[in-house]
Amino acid sequence: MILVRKNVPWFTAVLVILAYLGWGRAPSIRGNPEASAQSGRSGRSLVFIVNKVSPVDNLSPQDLRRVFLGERTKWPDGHKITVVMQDQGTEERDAFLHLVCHMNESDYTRYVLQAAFTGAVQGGPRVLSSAAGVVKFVSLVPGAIGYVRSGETDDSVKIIKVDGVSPNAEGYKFGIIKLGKVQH
Amino acid sequence: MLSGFCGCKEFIQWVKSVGQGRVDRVINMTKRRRFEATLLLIGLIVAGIGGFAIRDLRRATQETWQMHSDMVHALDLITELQYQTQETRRSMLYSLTTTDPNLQVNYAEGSRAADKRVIQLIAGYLNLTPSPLGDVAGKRLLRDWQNYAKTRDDVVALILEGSVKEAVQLDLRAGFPSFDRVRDDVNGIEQIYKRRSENQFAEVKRAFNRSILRLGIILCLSIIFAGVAVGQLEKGQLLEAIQGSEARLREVIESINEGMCVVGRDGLVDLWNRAAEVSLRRRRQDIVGHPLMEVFPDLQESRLAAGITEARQNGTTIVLEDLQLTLEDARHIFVARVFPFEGGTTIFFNDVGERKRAEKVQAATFRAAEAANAASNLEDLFQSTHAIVNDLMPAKNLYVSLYNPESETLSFPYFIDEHDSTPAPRKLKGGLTEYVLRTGNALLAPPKVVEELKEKGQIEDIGTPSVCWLGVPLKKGDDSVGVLAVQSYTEGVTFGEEEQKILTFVAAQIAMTIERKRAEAELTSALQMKSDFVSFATHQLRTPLAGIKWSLELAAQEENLSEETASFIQDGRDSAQRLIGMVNDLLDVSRLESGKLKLAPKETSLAELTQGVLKDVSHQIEKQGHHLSVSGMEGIPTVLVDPQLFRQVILNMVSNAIKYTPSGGKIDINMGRENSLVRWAITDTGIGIPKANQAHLFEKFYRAENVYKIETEGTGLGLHLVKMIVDKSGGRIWCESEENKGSTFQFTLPLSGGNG
Repeated sequence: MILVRKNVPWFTAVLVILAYLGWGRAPSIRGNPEASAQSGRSGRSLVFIVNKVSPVDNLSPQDLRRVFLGERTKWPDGHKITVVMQDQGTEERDAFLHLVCHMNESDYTRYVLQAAFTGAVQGGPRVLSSAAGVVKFVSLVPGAIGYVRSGETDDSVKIIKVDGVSPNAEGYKFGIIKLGKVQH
Repeated sequence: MLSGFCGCKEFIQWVKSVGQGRVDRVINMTKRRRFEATLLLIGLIVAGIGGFAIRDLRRATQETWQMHSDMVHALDLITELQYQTQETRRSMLYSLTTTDPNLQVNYAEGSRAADKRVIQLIAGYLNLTPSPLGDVAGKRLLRDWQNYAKTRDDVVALILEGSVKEAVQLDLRAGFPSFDRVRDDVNGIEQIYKRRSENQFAEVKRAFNRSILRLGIILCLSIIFAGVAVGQLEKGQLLEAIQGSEARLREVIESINEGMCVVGRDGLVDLWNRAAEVSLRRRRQDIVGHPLMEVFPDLQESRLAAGITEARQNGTTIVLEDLQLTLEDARHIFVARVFPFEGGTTIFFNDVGERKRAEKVQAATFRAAEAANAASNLEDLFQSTHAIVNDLMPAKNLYVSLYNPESETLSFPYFIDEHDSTPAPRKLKGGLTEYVLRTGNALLAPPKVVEELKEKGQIEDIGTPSVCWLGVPLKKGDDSVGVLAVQSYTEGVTFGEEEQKILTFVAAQIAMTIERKRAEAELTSALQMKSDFVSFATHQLRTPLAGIKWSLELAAQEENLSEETASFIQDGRDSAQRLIGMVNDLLDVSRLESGKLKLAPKETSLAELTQGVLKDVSHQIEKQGHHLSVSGMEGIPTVLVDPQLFRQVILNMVSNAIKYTPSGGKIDINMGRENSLVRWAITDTGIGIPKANQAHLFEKFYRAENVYKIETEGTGLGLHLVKMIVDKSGGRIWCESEENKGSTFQFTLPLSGGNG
């Protein structure tokens, strides 16, 4: 008590600063979707994005698997498919591997190496360290496809439906709850 | 001041100097004003030039600034455009240099952002109306850029896909050429803009040159205007100065109290001043522009016409005195001074009538004073005074009235009147005479004043009433002893202040004379009484003295007298002798003074007289031990004097020399001729006469202070008698003396006619 009483100005100052910081951060969270995407706290689903020029609107989970594992190399309009992955260790990557590829990280690594070795896949997936990078990449490359949390996208890319279900709709296969449950 | 001009040369000099001074002053002032005006105009010019210059420069500056800002803007745009186009390409190429997709994405993103800015810039250019880039060039640039951007997007996509080889191939095939086109477009725009700027600059330069030219023209015009303005100003100033000078000159001319007339070469009168109007009785408008001789026909006959001609010919100043000119009222006397000059002749007329009159008055008053002095009796005085007064004023009727305070009567010792006869002495009444006597003041009484006084009860009518009466009191001290009055019965003949002044002066003279006559009469009678008494007394004294003297002579001749008795008798004889001498002296003086002693002049030789005297006094000289010397006796001319009296003169002087010279002194008698005079002098080495006493030496009963030490019995009559005799004989006597050294007495006498 004596300590507290003696240092009341200091505590007060620290509290004021903290309060200020907390106050100041709040609007930026609300006003900047990219920042909220980076924070990792928003978005309950895994969404797949393609370039706006892409004719693809809807894919089945199987299609997604084939695309991401390099079994399909071209889109129906002839554009080369470029897969964009997020860095190892991210929740999205783990959830993606689990839900789409039905693999864990080591399985996937082995698969990629094997595919490269056999020549089944050329170049392999492009790996980007952030969701924002993924979105930008997809927006720049006509044949690109990547995944991010819902809410981390913007107008520069197109979100595709899975089995005809948009991420916001009921019955979307890659909900966040499921995502959280698939953690190892 | 002007009246002090006796000559016109001085006057003209003065006028010239006044005028010149004023002109000089004005010229100086004009110079100063010119300087000020020049300064002012220069100021105006500078201000005007400054204003125009500022306006033009401002315009030029605005244009230049506009050009500059346009250029800067354009350069900014072009630079930005160049930079951003380069940036898109550079960023794209950077993305080629790495395999990290993160970096590649970043670079690509940068490239795309730059692309967006390029599009914005171009759109900005194209939105401007008119477009600084030129519409065609701008649109081409936009098209080219869109082509390039498309290719670049493809290349970027390929890079990001990892298809580097394809990307490079695509860029080389399409991207690079299209970028080149874009670059060319931008450079083209830069060129266009530079050209435009040059044009704009050239236009500004032209505008600037134009304004310089305009300024030059304005400057020239200003200088011309300034010159003209200064010239006008100067002209105005000079005109004003000349007018001022002329006005002043005119004022001066008008203020001269001498008539001034300028006659031009054509003989017409140019100038006629106010004094001329007054003194010559001609108005200016009647004479200016007319020939002088026509207006004054008299002048044609006079010497003036000849004088003017002469002055013109010789170029000299001519003074014409006593120029007679009959004007409307009377004959006037003028002095004219004629001054020729280039443009004609200046004539100054001076009416000397007034001056002559003043001179006459002065002379008359002097004469009145003289008459007063010379008049032997009052009747003569009154007559001569009347004559003098009559000269000066219409004083036909003049009377003098005297008041006798003892009998309290008024008498009229002099009375000349056209109407009335001399009134008898009367007791004081209420006439004008009594009024003046009572008040003690002069009275100038025209009928109006007389009426007023009558109404007040101050006076009443006595005798015939006059048209004008003027009376002044005769005063003795503060008392009025009489009245001098003049009166006129002629209508229009009146008196004024001047007459009063003259009369007052004459009255003072008369009063003085009356007073003096009275005093003289008293004095004469007193002197007569004294003289009579002395003469009587001396005569009466001489008879018993003779008896005493003779008795003593007889007693001295008696035998067997004791020595003591004999000495008593001798003392008695000496005293009697001295007393007889004194009585004789007194008698002589008294006779001489009363005029009873008549001189009996004869041709007399002073040398003989001197020798005779010296013989008589030789024993005294010896007794005193004096050294006597006589010189100049030879050839001394005779003089016409009374020998008896002159013997006494010489004896007196010799005995004085002996008496007042201590024993063993030197006595020197010298005589001789000096021009028409005979001089006789005696010099001794005696006690002399103090300077202070010398002036009174010849006065009756006067004795010098230092003689009492030597002899106390002198009467002071001797030298008085000597002087009287010498004076009566037409000679002169005087004395030079120095105390304790000696004296010289000498007299001179005129040569008698017989000596030539």
